[in-house]
Amino acid sequence: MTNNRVDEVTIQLRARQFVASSATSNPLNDLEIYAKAVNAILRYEALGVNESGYTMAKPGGKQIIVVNSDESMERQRFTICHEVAHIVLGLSSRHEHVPPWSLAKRDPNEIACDIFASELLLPYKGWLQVVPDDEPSVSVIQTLAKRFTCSFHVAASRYASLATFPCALVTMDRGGIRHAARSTPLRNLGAWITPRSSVPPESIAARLRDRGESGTEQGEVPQDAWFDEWSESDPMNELARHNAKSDSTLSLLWFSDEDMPEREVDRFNQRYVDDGGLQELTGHLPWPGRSKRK
Amino acid sequence: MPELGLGTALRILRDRRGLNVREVGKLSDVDHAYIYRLESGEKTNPSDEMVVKLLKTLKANDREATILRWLASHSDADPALVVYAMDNDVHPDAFMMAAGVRHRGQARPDPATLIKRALALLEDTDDE
Repeated sequence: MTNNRVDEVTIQLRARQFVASSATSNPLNDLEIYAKAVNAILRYEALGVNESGYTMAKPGGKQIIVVNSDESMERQRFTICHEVAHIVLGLSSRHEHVPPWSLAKRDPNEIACDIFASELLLPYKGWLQVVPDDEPSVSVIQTLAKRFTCSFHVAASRYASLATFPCALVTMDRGGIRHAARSTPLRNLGAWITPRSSVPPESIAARLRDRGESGTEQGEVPQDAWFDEWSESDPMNELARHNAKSDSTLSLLWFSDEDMPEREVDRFNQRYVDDGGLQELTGHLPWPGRSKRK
Repeated sequence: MPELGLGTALRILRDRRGLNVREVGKLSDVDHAYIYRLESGEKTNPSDEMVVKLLKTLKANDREATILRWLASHSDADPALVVYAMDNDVHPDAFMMAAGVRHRGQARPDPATLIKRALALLEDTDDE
């Protein structure tokens, strides 16, 4: 877990350096600047279903990123950033052995490129400038998704990752948890959601899925429903969105100020125990003792 | 051990010459057990010296030799694409582009589609 965290941070930093070096003033409108920075050009072609794009390198080294013009603009933009990530990170493509119905963990190369792509699509500095202080809601995420021309899922994931309060976005497929993006404050609380486990039955996500219809619902759920080894059962907020056709669900989880648990862990995920700390200074040295040698 | 691209290419060339692994080993002065392991994918990344010896014995033409040399340093190439390229006189540039492709999405185009796409991009000179 620690190594994954380090890798994630390293990838984010590399992506931010790449964004800074690309000297783009407005990546929101034009991603070609990223492609140019890696000696690549973009081509658009109708590729049919289930194929978002591909990249081939010509003998001279020029990379051609071909994007499926049949897909939505949001998906095309994420594909471009994902392919640029493969080139910058020098990672091969390795997702052919994970079928769409599988809960198997995606290949680390693909996860790394998704993290990198998010940083390109929703640049850190630009994101902080526009993200509102309002309580999370469908409308807040939709507004951000529209502004950055990305999907609701990508915007929600970014929202959770960069939140300044305990927040997570859980991605689920066919009733199983595929991935959870957590904010730093939530990580610092030691809240862990196990990938490949079942959707908690007490959650709003499970309730929505059981109905078998697409929909969105927001409400309160007990904290220990979602987090492993979590003793607090106070309520927290859950905003769930279910797509019945693809049987996929998203849940945005967050604590309101009054629901914030009082626990903190160190970097080894051990809870801090309050032992009273050091004694107050009085001006009197506790040494040498009374049996001072002469 | 799954067969890899290099092993597939070696086996195709050996079959064409009608030789078994021991005979190739004797003619090329390479340990036949090593050749067997290259074919089965247990061994990868043979030295240039080994590759040259094998290419000479297997009487590979220029096109096949270029592909095989590339495969010697790219062990993850798709064996199905190698079979297609060896059987259909695919140009080495098109083969290398197709073999190094990165996909996004669940669909996987067949070797013929990949080669067709590579050839189309090679013909497209707008980017140069």
